[in-house]
Amino acid sequence: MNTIARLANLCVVLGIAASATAADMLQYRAKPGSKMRIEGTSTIHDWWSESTLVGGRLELDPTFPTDPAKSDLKPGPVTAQATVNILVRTFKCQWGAPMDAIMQESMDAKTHPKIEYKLKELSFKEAKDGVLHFDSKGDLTVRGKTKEVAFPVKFERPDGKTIKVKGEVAVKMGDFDVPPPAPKVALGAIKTSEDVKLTFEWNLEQQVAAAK
Amino acid sequence: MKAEPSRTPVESTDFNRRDFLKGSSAATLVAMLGGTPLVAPSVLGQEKAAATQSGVPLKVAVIGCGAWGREILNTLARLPSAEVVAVCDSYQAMLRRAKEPAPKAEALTDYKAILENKDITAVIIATPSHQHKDIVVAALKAGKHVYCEAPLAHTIEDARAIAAAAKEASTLNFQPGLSLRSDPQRRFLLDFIRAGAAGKTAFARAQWHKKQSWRRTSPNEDREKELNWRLAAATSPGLIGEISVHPLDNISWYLDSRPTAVTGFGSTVLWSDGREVPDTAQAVFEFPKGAQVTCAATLANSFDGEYEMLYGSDATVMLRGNKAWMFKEVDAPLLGWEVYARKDTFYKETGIALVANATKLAAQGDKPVEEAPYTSTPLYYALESFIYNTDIIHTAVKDFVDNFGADDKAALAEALSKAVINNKPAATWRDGFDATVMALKGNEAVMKKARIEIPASLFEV
Repeated sequence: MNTIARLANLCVVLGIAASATAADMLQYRAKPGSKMRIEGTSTIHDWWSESTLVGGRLELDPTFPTDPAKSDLKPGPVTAQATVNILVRTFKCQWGAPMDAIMQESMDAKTHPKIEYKLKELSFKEAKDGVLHFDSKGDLTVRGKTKEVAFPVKFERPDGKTIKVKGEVAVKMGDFDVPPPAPKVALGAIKTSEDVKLTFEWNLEQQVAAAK
Repeated sequence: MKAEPSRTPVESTDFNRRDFLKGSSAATLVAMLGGTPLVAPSVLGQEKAAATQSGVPLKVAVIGCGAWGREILNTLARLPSAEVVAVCDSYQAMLRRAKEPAPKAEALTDYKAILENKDITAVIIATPSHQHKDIVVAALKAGKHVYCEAPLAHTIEDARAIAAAAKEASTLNFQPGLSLRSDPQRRFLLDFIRAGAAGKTAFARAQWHKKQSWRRTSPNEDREKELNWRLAAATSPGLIGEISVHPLDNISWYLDSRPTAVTGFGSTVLWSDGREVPDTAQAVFEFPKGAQVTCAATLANSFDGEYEMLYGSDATVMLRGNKAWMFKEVDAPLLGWEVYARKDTFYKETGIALVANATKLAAQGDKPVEEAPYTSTPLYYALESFIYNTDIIHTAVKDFVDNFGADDKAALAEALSKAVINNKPAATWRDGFDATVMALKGNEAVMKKARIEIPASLFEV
């Protein structure tokens, strides 16, 4: 066996999350059927806005469990990289086309067409009921402003080649300089609340390794 | 449409019980019927920004520049989200006239050049009805989104071909020219009538009286024959097919059913100039629950113009343009709000005004005044919906394909069904086909002066 293979074996035996090189990481890309929902409230009614187009990619260590029931991960950091992007214009609001227009204006979709996220840290907590639980930390960019956000995520594996990442995080519009919309209506104006909850479900499938 | 600046009341913006009891009737009415209309800040200004997803106006072409095609061009000129880049007509004089509403558009005599132009996203077809099919089918095949004027065609076979092509083209927007389906006042009345406010419908009547010849003249004999396609039995859907198709679709929509038979009456009363199409026609449609719907149209008289009546067991509803009134039967149950609503007297009858968008009027003062809630035509709303919906669908398909590729058709269809949930109201290919079948059957009955059945199988595509 060559040296590298021996080292890799050693790392596995010692239970150290091996820092695999980029070439070794498993590539997962976004597939249809995901969703990202923003939920908020206002002086008149609660509202939600949802996009079904969550794009991006995920890179995982080859040792990442393909079956949560047989996971041998130990609590602690795992090697992973992820970038997510969602076009603001793909969001459809509960209260119709006028609210879509209001949202796009508030988010300044013309200048900042996408919401972006970059994973910085992923830390394993436990495997329970066929789900792998992690803590995540990453940079969320909305309306051109970046802020670090931390929230728990769950990884499900419908099969060895697909992954479903689920999570939710509460943020404030003000953190990203997004002005809470105050649209005028016949009898005055609606004031939107600053606090919103982001809930997402991200579907990915493993990409066949492309020739370098 | 000039946007009225809204005047926000000085007091609390909360919708409170005092206002309710004081009888701010219009606002009360709308609140009771549900919904708080939202207006995007940018929309409140005088000039609407190009409201497409990309920020750049949608490039469209109009094929067929006769009188109606030019009306479409005039309307598109008021929609900043659309840019007419090409106009097409087989007749040069029409192209010259189209220059006025569309000065920057390229003028072409062959529509195929338009279908080959990759920059053009959508086409609007306003040619004579019998020429729709070839152009629509070719346009959909070329990947263009299509707005096709109503009736879809002059024969049921052609209409079915159009419907089948539209059904097949699941990633393209197809909208028939049934503009009343996009009209806010007519949509407002849909809920009202479907909720049973009028009771059981006994009769409905749609009339169109306009004294005019319909015959066009041209020094060129061939051109004259072409121009008078409406007067030849082979190419004309008749008065019922061309004119009554719109109110017939509207009433069928309100009644949520399709007729099972129609009896026709036709005669040429005034314009005896050798034409094959009667200048006076009536078609009485039999609807499933017993409603008898008469469509009457004449070129010999202009009295009372164009309006529809729905005679129900609890109330009669009169629809005139963008206004409507309800005349309650004496023994009809009290709905409550009509006590506060505005009323107008018609000879001896008192009609309760049914006003869409009443809260906007309320914001401008205490009482809803006698004025139309808006002044745009149904065509404006229909084209506005078409441009908006086409842009949404076009962009959604593009975004999906950019991210995931075009292979998974089922996933694309699923994503598209979620992307269109906020699309603006518009007629679908199904609405257009059904209305065309009903109207053409009505015309057939008029030409035969007979009762003919309309089997449900006719509506299959």
